Amino acid sequence: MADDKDIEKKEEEWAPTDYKYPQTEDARSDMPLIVLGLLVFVALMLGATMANRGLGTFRKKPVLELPKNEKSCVRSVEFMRENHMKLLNDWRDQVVRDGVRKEKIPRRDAKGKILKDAGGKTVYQTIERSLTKTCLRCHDNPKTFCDSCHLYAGVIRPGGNIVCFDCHIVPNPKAGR
Amino acid sequence: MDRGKRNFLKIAGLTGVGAYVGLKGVQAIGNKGTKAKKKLALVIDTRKCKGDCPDCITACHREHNVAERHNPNFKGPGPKAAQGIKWIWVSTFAGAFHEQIHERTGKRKEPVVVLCNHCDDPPCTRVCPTGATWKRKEDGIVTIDMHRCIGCRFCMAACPYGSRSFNFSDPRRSLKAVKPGFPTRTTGVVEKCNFCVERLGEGLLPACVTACTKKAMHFGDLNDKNSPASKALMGVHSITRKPILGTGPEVYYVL
Repeated sequence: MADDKDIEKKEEEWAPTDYKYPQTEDARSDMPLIVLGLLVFVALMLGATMANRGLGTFRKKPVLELPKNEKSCVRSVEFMRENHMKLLNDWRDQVVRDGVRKEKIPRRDAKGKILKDAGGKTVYQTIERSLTKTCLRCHDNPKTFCDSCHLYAGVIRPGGNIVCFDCHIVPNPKAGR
Repeated sequence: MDRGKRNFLKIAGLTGVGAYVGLKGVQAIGNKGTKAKKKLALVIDTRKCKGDCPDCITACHREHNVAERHNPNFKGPGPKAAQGIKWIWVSTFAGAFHEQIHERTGKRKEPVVVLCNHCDDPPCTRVCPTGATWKRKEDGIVTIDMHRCIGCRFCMAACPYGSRSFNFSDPRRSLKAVKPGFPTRTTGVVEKCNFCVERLGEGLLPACVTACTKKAMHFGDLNDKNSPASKALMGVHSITRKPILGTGPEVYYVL
């Protein structure tokens, strides 16, 4: 049949039997290209990683502007360094959900040690669980306090802000929020 | 045969009494579980308030840093009125009480002050997918956790009173002055009247009640017979908005 012959003819055209596959010597000649490609790849990946995180190790250590008038915080320095975000979330839930706005905490000295009176009893003080009224009363400029560490740790981008102050007002006009 | 009939009647009677007592008991326990300790309400005396002075609205919006989108100086995008933010505002009498008017009341010219009704059974809290808005058990205030709100606006669709507003853009751009004590909102959250929950926490009355120079607003706990709100409702005719919906509004209007 004429159609079958046509098909056979076409198959021959498609896959000629005398086709030579590339030899190993030819593949070896691609080596410079492959190495160049790998180098470009590594450079790109390394650049991205450095730009994102690695530079942090070369960046200056964060300098925190500490409050001048107040020497003690609502918790010890070690606790605040690790857990300030948890404390703020707890305060938020307790105030917004349960309506408990006040908190009784022990007084601390400048080193974070809990103060005791003459009788050996802990001295307590009542504070308000409020970012604006309590935290920002002493740490009145988030740019020189909050942002310093947050930039270093990559919590915010350079020029960025933490979302807290999108709503919560910084009373200090110098803070520029 | 006779004894059988008598016994049957006895048992049937006892069963009926038992079922009644049992149901009442279950009802009582159920009510005790869901009943709020306080039932905060606002009573607006429309005999004194004619809706013609802006005192309560200005006080509320200044107190809570409510952006004035109707402000002609606002340079933001979009239609100004559609993006309006309001916690307390004035409505026509017919608009506020549209199913309760007749020929004569419908022609009443004086507008009425309207705000979130802090309903007994609020539809807005039921539809919230994140639990960002709820009715406080201790005093019945319907409140919003702005940290949790994702801005889906289901609550706005559910509220039959239009009490909720959405922040289409950064509200700080249209605020002339901010009061540091209260946070502003951010883009993409819903806000409304909170019955001055932060002032109540400090032992103060809501800002609108304090600001009203005509003494037309009375705020208090309706479970307490001696509260100003209970006293203001005593012996007068009062109505609420859209009572037929069964939401149980806690803002009352004395006629």
